[in-house]
Amino acid sequence: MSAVDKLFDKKFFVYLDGAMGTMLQARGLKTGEIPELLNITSPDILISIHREYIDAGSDIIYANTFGANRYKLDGCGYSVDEIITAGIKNAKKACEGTDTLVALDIGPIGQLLEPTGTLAFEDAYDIFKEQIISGAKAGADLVVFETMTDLYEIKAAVLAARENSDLPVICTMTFEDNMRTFTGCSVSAMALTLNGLGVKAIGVNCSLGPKELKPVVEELSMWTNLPLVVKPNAGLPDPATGGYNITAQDFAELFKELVPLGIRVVGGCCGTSPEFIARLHRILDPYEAEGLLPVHGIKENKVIPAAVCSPGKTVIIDSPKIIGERINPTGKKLFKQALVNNDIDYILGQAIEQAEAGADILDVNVGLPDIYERAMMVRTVKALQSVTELPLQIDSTVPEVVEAALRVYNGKPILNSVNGEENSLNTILPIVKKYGAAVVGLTLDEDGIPKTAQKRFEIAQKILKRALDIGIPREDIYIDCLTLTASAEQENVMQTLYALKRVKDELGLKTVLGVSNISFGLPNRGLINSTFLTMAMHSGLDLPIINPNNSAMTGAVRAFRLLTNADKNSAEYISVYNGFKADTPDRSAENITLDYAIEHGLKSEARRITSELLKTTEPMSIINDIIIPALDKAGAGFESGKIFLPQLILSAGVAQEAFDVLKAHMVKSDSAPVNRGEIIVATVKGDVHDIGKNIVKVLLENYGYTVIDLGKDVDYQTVVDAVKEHNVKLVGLSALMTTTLVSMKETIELIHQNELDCKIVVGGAVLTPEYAKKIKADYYAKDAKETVDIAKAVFGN
Amino acid sequence: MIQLDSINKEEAMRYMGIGNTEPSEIINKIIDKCEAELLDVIHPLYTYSVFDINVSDDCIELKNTSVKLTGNAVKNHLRGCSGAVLFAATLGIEADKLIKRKQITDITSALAADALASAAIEQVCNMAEENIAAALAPVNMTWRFSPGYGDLPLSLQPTFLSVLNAQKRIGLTVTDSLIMLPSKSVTAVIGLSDKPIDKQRQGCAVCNLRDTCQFRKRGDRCVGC
Repeated sequence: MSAVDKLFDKKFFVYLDGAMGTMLQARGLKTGEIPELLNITSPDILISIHREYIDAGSDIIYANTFGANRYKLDGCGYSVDEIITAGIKNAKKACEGTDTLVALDIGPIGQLLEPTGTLAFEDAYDIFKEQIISGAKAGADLVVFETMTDLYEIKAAVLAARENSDLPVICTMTFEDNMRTFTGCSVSAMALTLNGLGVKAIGVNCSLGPKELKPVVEELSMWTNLPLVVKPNAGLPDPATGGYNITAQDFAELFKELVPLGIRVVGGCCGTSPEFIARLHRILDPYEAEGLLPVHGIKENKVIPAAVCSPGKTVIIDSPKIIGERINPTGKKLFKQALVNNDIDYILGQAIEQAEAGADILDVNVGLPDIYERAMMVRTVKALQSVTELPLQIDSTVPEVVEAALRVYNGKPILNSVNGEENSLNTILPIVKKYGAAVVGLTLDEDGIPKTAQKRFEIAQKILKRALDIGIPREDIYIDCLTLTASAEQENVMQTLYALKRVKDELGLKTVLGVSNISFGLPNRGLINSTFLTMAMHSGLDLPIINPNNSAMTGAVRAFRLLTNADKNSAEYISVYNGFKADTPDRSAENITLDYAIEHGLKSEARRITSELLKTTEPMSIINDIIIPALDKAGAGFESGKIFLPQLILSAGVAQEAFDVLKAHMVKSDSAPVNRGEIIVATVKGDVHDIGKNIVKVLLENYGYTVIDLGKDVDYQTVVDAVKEHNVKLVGLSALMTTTLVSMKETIELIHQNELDCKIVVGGAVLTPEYAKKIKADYYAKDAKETVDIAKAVFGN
Repeated sequence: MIQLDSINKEEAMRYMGIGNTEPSEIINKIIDKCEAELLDVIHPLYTYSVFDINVSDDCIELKNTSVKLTGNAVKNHLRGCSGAVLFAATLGIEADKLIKRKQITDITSALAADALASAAIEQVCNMAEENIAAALAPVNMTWRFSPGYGDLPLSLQPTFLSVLNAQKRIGLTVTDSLIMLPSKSVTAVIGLSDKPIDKQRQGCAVCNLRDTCQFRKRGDRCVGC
């Protein structure tokens, strides 16, 4: 048993310390300087501050290591190890002769993580790992991650701590008055994610005072049974004076209101001092003396709702919720092609479409024989989480894919799936447990899918037992009783629903079912699907896996939620269907031509007209005789100043819709898609402004070029590797900042050093033709239209 | 915190490159929709600190900090001032996320959302500045002067944010390439004086981007000048 465990066993309230920065500034530290340097230059100051907190009654003090990471200490003259070792040593010195414990204190790295920022999850992990190893070696009793605002960052931090030390971990995040962190993480998402990662206690620190933090603590207490930590500021700051607005006594008094919420670990953040900790003792000690629980109504362990989440969205499974099934290559030529071509935008488009159609969770399956599933899964999960807040269901049974996906997922996902086979139970469940995911258990085993409900129920029981044994909570186990095909096994269709009902009623587990297989081989499949779906929901189905773009299926779920009183006041139903008209074509649109649609920005019309045209016209002639001339007309209008950029790219967007229809048609008929040449585009290393590059991409694709988009913040070498791999003749580089122009220069130099036979076109707001020439680019493009002209010149088409 | 009820669409259209002509109905619709979506997701925040300043020959020092403001432009900007406000504001990360989503589904909307967000952060700065003036009254304030403008180096940004404790207070960070994230953010130094201040802006003359500026090419000016 660790010293921390003993402390938590011995005392109900555990006292942390108060502010360090405030104390240092009172002793003359200039703002803007690195406070951790004092660990080495002025150890006496730190020891004296720590002692003041120990004297005030802190059970745990935080070493002065908050910002001691590789990134923040860069260039300061000391290594992370030196600063942390000194910091822990000072704290331990101050603790001599007392029972006070020392925490390695770790704050945010200071750089925003992907997808919004540029720091990779794996790099964040390495930065934390370095800190943890130093702290553990120096003799810290525990690790504290505090002031975190990014769920992804704290996940990297906790994994680094758990995998590189035996130290207990305490996590506190910082919430604003809108109950979110700066990066949009909700209170429930924090708790759901950290509950499963094996930490000792979770809570909140900084940002607000104890009064303002009460709603946050209240919410948090509903989502976790871990000890709650509260380390608020001394009220709200006054920027004009640099001070805070409440006294130590008021601060401590306010904690009385937090006691019934079950708080156990207390301390202060910005603006607090040893006095605040002493006052907390005076207020809280009497509770401990009285014996807390019966007197003050503190809640006993509660049941946490079954739920999964991304940082910004928590889906509680208290009524049927839709899992969208479309991110799956099975039986989809276009999707397979997108996977093979690494066309991540296609997959992202599928995600957004399903989200808009009403999906609550998205299933993600990228398994194909020809691709490296693990890398593709990691890339897809990260990319999906950059554009959708819907929680994901990772769909794979390959342990290494499962592990990689659960690791990089930001939030609490579902894993689909484990089954009753020994091998599956033994390999998959430990991974699920380690990452705190929810898991779907399929009711099949070594003998296949049992025919009877009884046998499937028994497999469900077995999966439940094994999952509970390993420590996965009951609310995170979902059972799939497996849909059979009615045309093949009509007599057994109801066995699925019987089993489902028993799993739900007798085991109290949530249930999942892929619905669409039921109708395979029958005409009018939609009718069978929606009827079966309704029957299944009535039997207790919680998570139908369906195509949310199918309005009958999504509608059935919404209607069911209304009729079972889950959709209170029919609010969701009315918001979706109010003003709903059955699909009637817009008569006025009938006479529109494709070129008119492109010119006027009419997307849906363009899709419809293109589909119509394909009945009578060859795809290539639609492209060459209608789309390209319409685009040329828009381009000419733009150059002459008749139309402006938004109109031009609006036309390009419509043309893209038409192309999508053509592409789908051509892939279906196995004819080669249009390709007038391959072009790589990238926003250079260090730069994250990619809207300009993306406009260029759309326009180039319009003109039939295949664009390999390397994204933003692209390493020099990545560009070179891609040029080699795809043997492209034209590379487009974009930079928006004066500070990233140098990356553009470096990229071009590396391309030249490798003697690659390709032309380079550059563009971006701060670029000039002269500078482009100076850094040895072949072309400078002032806008997207000019890039197309350059491509035409390079490829001679 | 600051509540925006609407975004200056004329300004946004200027950023989008729409000239003086009336945009088409469909573009107007896109802009209206993006405005509503942006207003729904943004969470504008600002923070500031007040400092006394020390003017020396080669720089202006903010007392009790490690910040040294260098260059002629900021010296002119703070001429006659006895103190300075360091200021930072952001629309928050949700604006970036919205723009990113739009780039997948509809690039025109992405352009509109991006321009609207740029207009919105300027409005937020203006409102914040009014609040600061009220909090510090009676005092005279110069206009906002930002790192990267004129010869005030952009490399000041990390120290600037660290002095303001901007990551902790408003979630604002800066990358190694000195790009602020969330991207719709502004930092600035505002001069303080007991005496009336000539609020004349220095305009394009001191701007580093004057040679490539798309606004200048159109005979227009950006918001910074």
